[in-house]
Amino acid sequence: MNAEIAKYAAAVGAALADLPENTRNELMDDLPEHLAEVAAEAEAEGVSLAERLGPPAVYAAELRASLGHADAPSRSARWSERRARVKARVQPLNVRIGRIFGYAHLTDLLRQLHPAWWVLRGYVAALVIGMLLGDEGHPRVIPQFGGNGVIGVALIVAGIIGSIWLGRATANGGRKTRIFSGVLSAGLALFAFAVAVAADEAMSRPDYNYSADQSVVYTSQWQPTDVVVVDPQGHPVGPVGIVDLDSQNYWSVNVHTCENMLPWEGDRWPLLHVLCRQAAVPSPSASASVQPSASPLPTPTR
Amino acid sequence: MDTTQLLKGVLDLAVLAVLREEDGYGYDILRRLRTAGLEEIGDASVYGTLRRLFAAGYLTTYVVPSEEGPHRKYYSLNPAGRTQLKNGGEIWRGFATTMDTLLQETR
Repeated sequence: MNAEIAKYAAAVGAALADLPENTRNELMDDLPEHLAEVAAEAEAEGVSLAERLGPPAVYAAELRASLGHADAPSRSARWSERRARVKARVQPLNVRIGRIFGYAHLTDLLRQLHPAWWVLRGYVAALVIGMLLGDEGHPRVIPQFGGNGVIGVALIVAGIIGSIWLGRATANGGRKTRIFSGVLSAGLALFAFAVAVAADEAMSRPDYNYSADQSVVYTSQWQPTDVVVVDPQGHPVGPVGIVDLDSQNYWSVNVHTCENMLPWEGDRWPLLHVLCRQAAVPSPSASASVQPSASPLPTPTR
Repeated sequence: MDTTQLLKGVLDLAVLAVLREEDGYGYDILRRLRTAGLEEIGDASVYGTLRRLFAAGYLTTYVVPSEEGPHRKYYSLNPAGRTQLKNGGEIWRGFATTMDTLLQETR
């Protein structure tokens, strides 16, 4: 029975959490004793406390009314109060950061950046549509439809115009428009971020298929069968062998050198040809400085 | 209109009135009010009213240890409470008379 009283009293207290602390404490001090009286009689009648008094929330509401306090603040009122409190706390930061950029508030600057975001948002929307309906299943800088970008450009223009229109409508619009615009913007921003990450990865990915007109790319994942060993100036050295320290065996690769380069080697690997030609005529910088440089490989030219 | 609506305005007076003759603890006061005919009165309303009257300075309290069951906080009318009861009673009687007259005329 005592646990029931404590539980009931706690639930009543929770429903009165918004009352001034003094009032509430005073009220809660005596409540368990008072409830115990009720409970004793309820027990004699074989009913529970909640059956006798009704749900704690109803009891709390009645208590609140008899104390002369207003009804519990509505959910929306509590929300707006919380928002106001957060706003008050963020406001100094808003002013301080805004001042860095020469504005009274950071939000003033952000408001001026709205149109820029609308344009970007429209473009990203066009990318999404292009990806879903266009020729390729991944985003392109200009979406491709039917093998060219004409429709893609039109789509981008339409996306930007639509986005600007939505931006202006949101500014003057109601709650539903704002929610729709917010969800759409968040989705597109997420998509744009994902595209940016994917593009960044694509740019830094090593190039496996070397051809003479592509620049040299360092790779970390290769299993070559034919290599050339170069010194810090990018000049092939040799004859050498490569020993794997882990297995303590010679590495089963062919190390090519300039000394005994066969014609077919030069034909097959234009880079080897280029490297050996440069090694034969040392560049001024290479002879002037013996310090190893970090990026020795020259861009091969035909 | 039910009795609960009417009670809201006069519960203070009713509680002060049942304490006029004899001190009482919360649940005891509730029982007295119910016995007197205010059967729709809620436990929380009485408890809240007692706390409010106490905070307003119309009641004094003292604790009586109980052999079986919890301690009981007794409420008693102090001079300020008696004055309040007297004034409130007069206002009520005047109001009740007015209402009586009004209701008779509409009949």
